[in-house]
Amino acid sequence: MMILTITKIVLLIGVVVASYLAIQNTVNHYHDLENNHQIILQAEILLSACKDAETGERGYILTGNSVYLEPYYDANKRIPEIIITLREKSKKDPELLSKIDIIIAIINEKLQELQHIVNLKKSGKHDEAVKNVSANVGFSKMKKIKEIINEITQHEEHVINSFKKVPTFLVICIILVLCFVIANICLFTLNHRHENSITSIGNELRRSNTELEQFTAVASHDLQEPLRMVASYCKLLEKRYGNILDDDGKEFITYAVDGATRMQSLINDLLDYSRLRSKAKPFQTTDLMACYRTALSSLQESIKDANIVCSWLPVVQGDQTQLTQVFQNLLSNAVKFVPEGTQPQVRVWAEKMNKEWKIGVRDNGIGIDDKYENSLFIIFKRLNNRKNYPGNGIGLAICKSVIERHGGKIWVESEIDKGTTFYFTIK
Amino acid sequence: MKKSINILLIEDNLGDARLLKEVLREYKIANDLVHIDNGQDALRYLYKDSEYASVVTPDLILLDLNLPGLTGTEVLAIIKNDFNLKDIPICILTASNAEKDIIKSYYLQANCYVVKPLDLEQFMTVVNAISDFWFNIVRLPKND
Repeated sequence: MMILTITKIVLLIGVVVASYLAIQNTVNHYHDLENNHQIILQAEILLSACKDAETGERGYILTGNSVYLEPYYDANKRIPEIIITLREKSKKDPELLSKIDIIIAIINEKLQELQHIVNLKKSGKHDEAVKNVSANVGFSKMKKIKEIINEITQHEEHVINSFKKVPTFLVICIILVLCFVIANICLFTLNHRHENSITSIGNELRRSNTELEQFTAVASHDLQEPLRMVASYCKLLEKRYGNILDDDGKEFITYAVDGATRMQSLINDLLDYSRLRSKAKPFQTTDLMACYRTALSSLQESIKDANIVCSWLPVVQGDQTQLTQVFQNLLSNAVKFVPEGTQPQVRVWAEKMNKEWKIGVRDNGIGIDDKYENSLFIIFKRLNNRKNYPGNGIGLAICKSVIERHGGKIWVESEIDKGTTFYFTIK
Repeated sequence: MKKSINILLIEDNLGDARLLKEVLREYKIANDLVHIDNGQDALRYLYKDSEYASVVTPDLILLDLNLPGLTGTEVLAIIKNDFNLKDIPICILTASNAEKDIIKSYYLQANCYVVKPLDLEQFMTVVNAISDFWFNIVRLPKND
């Protein structure tokens, strides 16, 4: 999910950047286009100025009327300005610049030639001036100027057309947007599949929970009925026919009843264990000290001879009922597995460990052999005989399940005949 | 001598039915116990349908919840919604300890809910207590 979201964000940023660049580029592109049009315009103005100059010169030569010199002088003034503008606008295009430089040179020659003829006329050398005009030199220069101006115009028109043909960035931008849309559709589909698989896992979990609940119902009713039959009829047998049974017969009946009773208590424990999940409450702020005290008070009778100390325990997030159960089971074990004639000494404490709490429950009991340390937490696992240490072996399995539900760990450190310490962590 | 009481036991477990009979015998409770092992037949019995035409309406019904076919809860609901049958006290006698069964039974107007004890002695005590309560302590409407 996270990766999909990140991918989407990256794509979105990509599209935004691309769009920005595309817009920027389009703006530049239009600036360029504007520039190209300006170049064409200026080139045409230049040509017309040259023509004006030539026409003015010819008018003056033919008529001697200095009125004709006005357009000539005017053109002379304008031409350098136009050239500066043209050069300025063409500075990005070296090919164009070289053409402009060529044309400047020719125009200069042309202007000098015109100046020369005008000067001849002014100084009264009319015939020489006319001769110069008809020498055709000026005509070929003018032709050359027209050609180059034409080239410049064509060059620029070509550039403009190429712009029109490939609005590259716009296309890229559109492609990117399309990519984004397609990618999004793909991601959506993927996501959808992902959600579907999550839904199916969820359904699977619900189904398995329902099955567990059904199991609980079966265990609480259907499994107990036959047991009740065995126990009840054995007792009825004993009650009604006890006087004709010998000691063996009575003993056999005792074992049958005991077996059924024990089975009953195992089923009840199994139910308790399965209820850890089905009856689990949401976590809330829980004072472990309160859990500890409740545990002590419910153990009352079995701990009356023990010395149990605890100075302080932290407040955590958890299921109060279940955490009380953990203390109850650990304390009950701590006072139970003590050699006869020894007073049980139990210490409960808490210490901060990184971001979580480590709780310890230490006793002075018989200790646990290293090799059993792992199997200790398995349901119905017992390490000692039932006669001296009664119990079904469910307590630690419940503790483990509860602590793991709280995101913690539970473990044991022990030394034979010295005592055992159970530790668990909780946030 | 006390009048014999009519009990209808609706229970699919023959062992349990027999055990109840034995316990009533142990306590010498004068009774006329009819045992039917499923809900459908029990209802036909109560409606005095065909072969049950001449039966006596029971003074007390002992009803197990875990029945094949029509469940105990359904039987309870049907009886307690029947104008002619709703006054018969029904005692739920079941192995189920489940809270939802208890709540549902009382909601459907069960007169009491008893969990069958595992231990024979306790079972005897319970049966004796039920009999004593319904036949000696409380007054029930007269059937005839």
